Amino acid sequence: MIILYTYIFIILVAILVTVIMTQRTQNSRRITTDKATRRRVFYIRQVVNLLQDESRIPMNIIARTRSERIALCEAIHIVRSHTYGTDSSPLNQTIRDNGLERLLFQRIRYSTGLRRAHWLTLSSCITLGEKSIHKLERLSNSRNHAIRIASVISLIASDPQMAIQRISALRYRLSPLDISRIISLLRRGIIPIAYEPLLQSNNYNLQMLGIAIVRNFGIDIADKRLHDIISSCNDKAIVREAILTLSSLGRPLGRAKIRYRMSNMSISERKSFCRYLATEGYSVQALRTLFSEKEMHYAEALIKSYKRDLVCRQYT
Amino acid sequence: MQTIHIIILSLLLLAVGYTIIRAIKTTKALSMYNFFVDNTAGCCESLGFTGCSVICYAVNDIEQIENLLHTEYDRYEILAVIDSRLYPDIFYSIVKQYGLIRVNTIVSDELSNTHIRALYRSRQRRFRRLVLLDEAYTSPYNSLDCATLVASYEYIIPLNASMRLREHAIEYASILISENRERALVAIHSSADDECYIIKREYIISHDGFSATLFHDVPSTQILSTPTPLIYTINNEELRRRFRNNMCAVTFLILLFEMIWADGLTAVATLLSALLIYLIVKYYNVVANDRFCPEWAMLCYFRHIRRIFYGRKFLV
Repeated sequence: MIILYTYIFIILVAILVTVIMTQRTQNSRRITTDKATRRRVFYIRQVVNLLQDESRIPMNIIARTRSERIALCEAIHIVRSHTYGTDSSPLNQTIRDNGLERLLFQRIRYSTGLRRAHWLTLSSCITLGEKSIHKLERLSNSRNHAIRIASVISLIASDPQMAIQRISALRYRLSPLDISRIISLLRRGIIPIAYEPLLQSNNYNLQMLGIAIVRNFGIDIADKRLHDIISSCNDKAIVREAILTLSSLGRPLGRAKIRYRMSNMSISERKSFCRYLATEGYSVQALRTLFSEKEMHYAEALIKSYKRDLVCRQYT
Repeated sequence: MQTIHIIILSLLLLAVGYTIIRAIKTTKALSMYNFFVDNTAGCCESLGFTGCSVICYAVNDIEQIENLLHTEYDRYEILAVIDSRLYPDIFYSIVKQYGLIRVNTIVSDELSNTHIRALYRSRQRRFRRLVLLDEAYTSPYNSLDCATLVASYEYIIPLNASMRLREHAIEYASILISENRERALVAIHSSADDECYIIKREYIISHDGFSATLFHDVPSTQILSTPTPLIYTINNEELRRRFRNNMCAVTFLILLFEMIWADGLTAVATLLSALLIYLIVKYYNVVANDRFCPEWAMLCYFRHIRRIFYGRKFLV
């Protein structure tokens, strides 16, 4: 038996040494990475020029090799995720001419896990055909969370009119990060900021998205809808999000329904909320209606501590 | 004799197998980390209202604070704890560097035995995340307790003088926290770094502060263990040397034991498995191309073996 073990170990050692040597050689040839970065920067400049060109003279961006086409995809993704409200139609010709959609879906098909999620994320920046949308719909039910959410985002980006239907049809709850990623699409001006129907909906994902929109865009006229959610919603997570959003907007919190919801919170939740209000800059007077006399002692200590008053002695 | 052979070989196989699993897990976790960092840039803004307070105790280098100030996550603060009487040089250099001024100190009475002399904050907006605590030093646990009292956010990350946060570590930690909010988690443990914990503030308060037995009564289901490295250590040459010497000494002792009690072939098998473990770690290093993760950090799980006998300890 021991001989067998020794042989196995020898074989494993030999394999590992070979793999390490190969990897090292590849790493030493990492000049290719710099080359890829340079190529990407080159295409970013070209894409920006194309989007800025107001004369609308057809300008061709040509990527000949596969690595150039990948660099072009990444460049489009970078530019589009950092610009607001750009008209993407000048890019459509480039995407068609270089066969970027076909390239991306080939990659999506032959990759798995995070690589697949990466290609799906890139595909959110190009206009997709119907065939590709069908493929994405299938992937939006994947067991892998990263793939699932990347395909949902890609679907929303390619067909913004259907965004609400698609989100409401999801059979799972979106995480705060997923919602933030959808919000980034909103920031790019891809989907409209219609928060009211979202807040009125009974769907968890839509309500959370609506609340996130209100918070991210500082829509303080939405406080009536938030109050409605606080008084009528049965989901604790949504109520928590609504109360915190209301306080991040700096709205008054003294209403009876908020007091009632707060009375149902655990001691640690109330304390955490108290700290949150202190950092948001609420006054002692504003908090007096929300917390008991004993809790107010804690709240006062917080508000009157380092966050508010300066002692005028400078140690410099 | 046959039994000794079987036991030795089983142990060797176990060690090799565990190293392989660990290398694979850490590599996968790192690619997940890189995926989130690359694809969700700008999305991690106050995820689910999750906030983190980083506590640096025993600060001896201003560079550590510089490193921590690079984080751009919005609900994040740095609490540096120093005794101005014991270490006046570093204390006043920090005060001068960041233009700190003394502010009011009314600290809550949630924890006993805390001796905060003063709090300092900066007038400059770019350093608003930084809070300097002047405390009468008694022990590192007490320093952590003092900072916990003034921490504004729900989660605490204790760091000693040699620890530094990786780029986007706070964002990634917030993703982990917000995605596991419904589980009653007490802490998140980054098993790749051995000593990095993200602990819920309320749990520390209910446990009456930091101590070595902080996690003694906590079931393992309430501590989320992630293989993603969140921190890295500097000035660890001494630790590395000691660890390398210990590993060599243990291997030598096993070899000696086998030469006397078993046979030469078993010794060869042991030597080969030690080589195999080293190569696996080296392979991880080369493949992950992780400049912060030295070989010994990958092997820190040997220290985890103690937990089987003594339980989880929080050591500073």
